[in-house]
Amino acid sequence: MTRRVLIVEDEPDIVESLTFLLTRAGFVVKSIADGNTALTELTAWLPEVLILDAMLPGTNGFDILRTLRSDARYATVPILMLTAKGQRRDRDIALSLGADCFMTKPFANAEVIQAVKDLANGDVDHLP
Amino acid sequence: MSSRSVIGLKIRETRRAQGIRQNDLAGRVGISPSYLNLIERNKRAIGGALLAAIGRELSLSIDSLDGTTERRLRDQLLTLAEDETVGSQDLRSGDIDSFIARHPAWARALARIYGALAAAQAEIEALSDRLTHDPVLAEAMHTMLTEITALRSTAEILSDPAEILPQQRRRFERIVDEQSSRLARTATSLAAHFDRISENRRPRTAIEEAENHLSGSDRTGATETAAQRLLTDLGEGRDLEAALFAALKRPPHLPVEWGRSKRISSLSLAYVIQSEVPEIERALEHCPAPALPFATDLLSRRIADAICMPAETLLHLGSRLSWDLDAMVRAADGDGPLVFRRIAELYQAGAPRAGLISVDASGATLHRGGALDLLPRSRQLDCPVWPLHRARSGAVMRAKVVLPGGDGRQVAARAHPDGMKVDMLVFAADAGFASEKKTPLAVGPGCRICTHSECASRREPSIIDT
Repeated sequence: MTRRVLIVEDEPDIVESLTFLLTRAGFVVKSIADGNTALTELTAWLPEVLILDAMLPGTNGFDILRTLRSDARYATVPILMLTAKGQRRDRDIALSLGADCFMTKPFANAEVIQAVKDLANGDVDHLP
Repeated sequence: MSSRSVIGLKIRETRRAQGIRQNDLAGRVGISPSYLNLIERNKRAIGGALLAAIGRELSLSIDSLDGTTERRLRDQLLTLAEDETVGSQDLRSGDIDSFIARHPAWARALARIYGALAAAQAEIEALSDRLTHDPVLAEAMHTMLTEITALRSTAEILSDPAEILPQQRRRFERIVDEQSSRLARTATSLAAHFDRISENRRPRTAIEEAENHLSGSDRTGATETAAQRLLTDLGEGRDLEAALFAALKRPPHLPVEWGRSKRISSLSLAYVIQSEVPEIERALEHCPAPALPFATDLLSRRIADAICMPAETLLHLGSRLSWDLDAMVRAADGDGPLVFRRIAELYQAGAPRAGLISVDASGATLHRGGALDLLPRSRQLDCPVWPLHRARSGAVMRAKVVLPGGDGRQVAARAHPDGMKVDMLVFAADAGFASEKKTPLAVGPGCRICTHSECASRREPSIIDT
């Protein structure tokens, strides 16, 4: 069974490389660049893993995360949060809002792909 | 303890330090020794004409005698004692007044150090605040990290031996090309932003304000004019040392081991301080109040230097010796500090364009002068690569350096004979003071925040991961 990954990220070149890598790893990938349409897209296309950038045009990643975790339909979707800030405060907020994994940019491709695989497999204990 | 007791103690300590007997001082100011004894033991109040007379005899200002200086110092030390990070209960309960009266130099030094600490803390807070809240910086950093992420991720894909379709490969190569161009533009605009911050930076300390105030060309002209007039007053053709000695109402004590140039330097300064110098007053007209004492001292020193070595003497010497600094110092009776100061002072009058930095034995910057725009932006030269941290007395150390940011400079450093201070002249990159064959030294902002990972002089790891 093919597993789906939704990338919510506004930088098209990052989306392109992640899409390439995840597709090569066997995932079906969709992407959206705007925070406002993320929730609509989720309703129509529920992924096995959501990659969510923290800073997005429209609704930011933290607000999307808060909304998803307060909605029973999305409360258990595994979420990998990406941020360009390595600040501990952002990490703490993301984890307290219910992100399963948190990675800072610039990331290593292999780490992101492995994290997505682990999230899709429910193997989340060792994730950063 | 009241200001009266501070005055009594201060008179006694100063009198003793100057080797003046109680009887002699009492006689000079027209009171009985027993009355002076009562004043010094804080049994009698003192003020007005008598206080002024004692101040004159002991070369102390009314401010320092009537306790104004001590009260200010006392407030600073009380703040230090109550400071959570450096103070303690022992300090709070100690006798600060007695400490100030008995060890005024130490008390002032302590207050200065505490002032510097407070200024440094304020700057760190301001910088932290800027990094956290400066919207331009935050935006630029976010953009850069995003661009670096795209670049890194794409470069990893391209370097992966796994097969990529030609069409995909071309797309990723285009991304690398575009993202690296974007990154270069973002980095350039970020550097420009830092430059603007630096240019808008106001002086942080009173000494820095004083140095900035005195850096204009009209100040240099006033210095030379004042020195020329004072020299004329001393009498043409007379031996300078003898003339200065004769002109001084109260010549300073000159240790026997001092050479002639050091004696003349000390006498010249005393002569400037004693003289009416309207140029000083005019030059300091718009000087900020906190910087006034420093600016007065700096200007007096400059005029004294101009008496010791008039502009035409320095320029003639430089021209004759092709600005060979070692030869010039020898020709100036070994007075390297004077030669260095005069070159920096006279860069607008024909000397090579140079800035001057003087540091003490601990490496702390004491003074910056001359062409300030040639000097590094940071006042403290924390990087151990700077030649002035290795300079010896007796020879001028020359080097080419590359400043953080990439600008080049040539420098010439020389330690004072006692090794307690070092002067460094900083010239433009093409000034011809250092051998073209020498490899430039890469100086950084200090090991903690320096990215020169291979530096052989590194003293501690950098907090910046390179």
